[in-house]
Amino acid sequence: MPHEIEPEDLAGVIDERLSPERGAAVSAHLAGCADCRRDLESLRQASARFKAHGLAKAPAELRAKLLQAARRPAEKRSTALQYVLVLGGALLVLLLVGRAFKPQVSNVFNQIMGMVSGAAQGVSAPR
Amino acid sequence: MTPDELVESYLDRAYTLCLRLAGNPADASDLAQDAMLRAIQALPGFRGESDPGTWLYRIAVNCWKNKAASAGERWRKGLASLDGAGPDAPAPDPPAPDPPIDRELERQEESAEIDRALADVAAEDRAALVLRELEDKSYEEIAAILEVPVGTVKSRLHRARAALARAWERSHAA
Repeated sequence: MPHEIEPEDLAGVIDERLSPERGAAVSAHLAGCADCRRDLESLRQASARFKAHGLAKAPAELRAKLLQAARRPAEKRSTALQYVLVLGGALLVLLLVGRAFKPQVSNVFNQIMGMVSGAAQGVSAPR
Repeated sequence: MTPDELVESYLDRAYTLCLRLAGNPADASDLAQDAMLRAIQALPGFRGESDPGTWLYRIAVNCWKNKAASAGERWRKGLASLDGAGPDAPAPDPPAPDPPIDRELERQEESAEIDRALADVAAEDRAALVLRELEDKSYEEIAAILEVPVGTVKSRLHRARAALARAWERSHAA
């Protein structure tokens, strides 16, 4: 019997990827061709056995190395965040201290401004 | 998805693909490491529009292509490793502690049988088989990962399955 189907059509049958028309043609051929039916069954079994074998397990040392690499950027981010928090805390302390000593600071500032202003008047006054 | 989750969820999957592309555990480890490190670096830019697995497998296939282009025949052929870890070499991975020893030995023998059966199949054919049978990827997804037309995917799947079928028929006949 001539084979009106391509070998790849058997992959299409297994994966249910044939168009309705092609599927009908392949089914008709399979119904009358014992060789192709045997090939199809053999391919199905190969597919099922490979599937049943499942995934390989990655070596433990590879997993450990990659997890370490995966966590590294997160640690860096966490360190940067710590710096920002410390800097922010320091600025807050300075602000509170400045606020507490505001009257004294203000007096010193006024004294300096008075001195500067006096000096400026002294320079600009007509002789 | 965090880098940790990427490693935990996809390392075994990526390693399985790499094992079939590289053809031996030592090269598969190198390849999986390269691919995962690249994926970890690129993860902030991954917008999640596609399945993370599809994205990661594309990276792995590109890493393999780069190695094949620079390292030559050993990577293209896969199973014919220069350091002796060929199809007849025992799997170097230590057995997992959980399954009984008999089951583990059986599994290792089955794994070696699959390696031998796929020894003469092109690496891309083996990769197509992993993506279809173990990852349940569609022909279109496999075509996108391997950067080949959909028709080529069908041919590759057929060649890989036929090689497995022949090998198992031989081993049962013996």
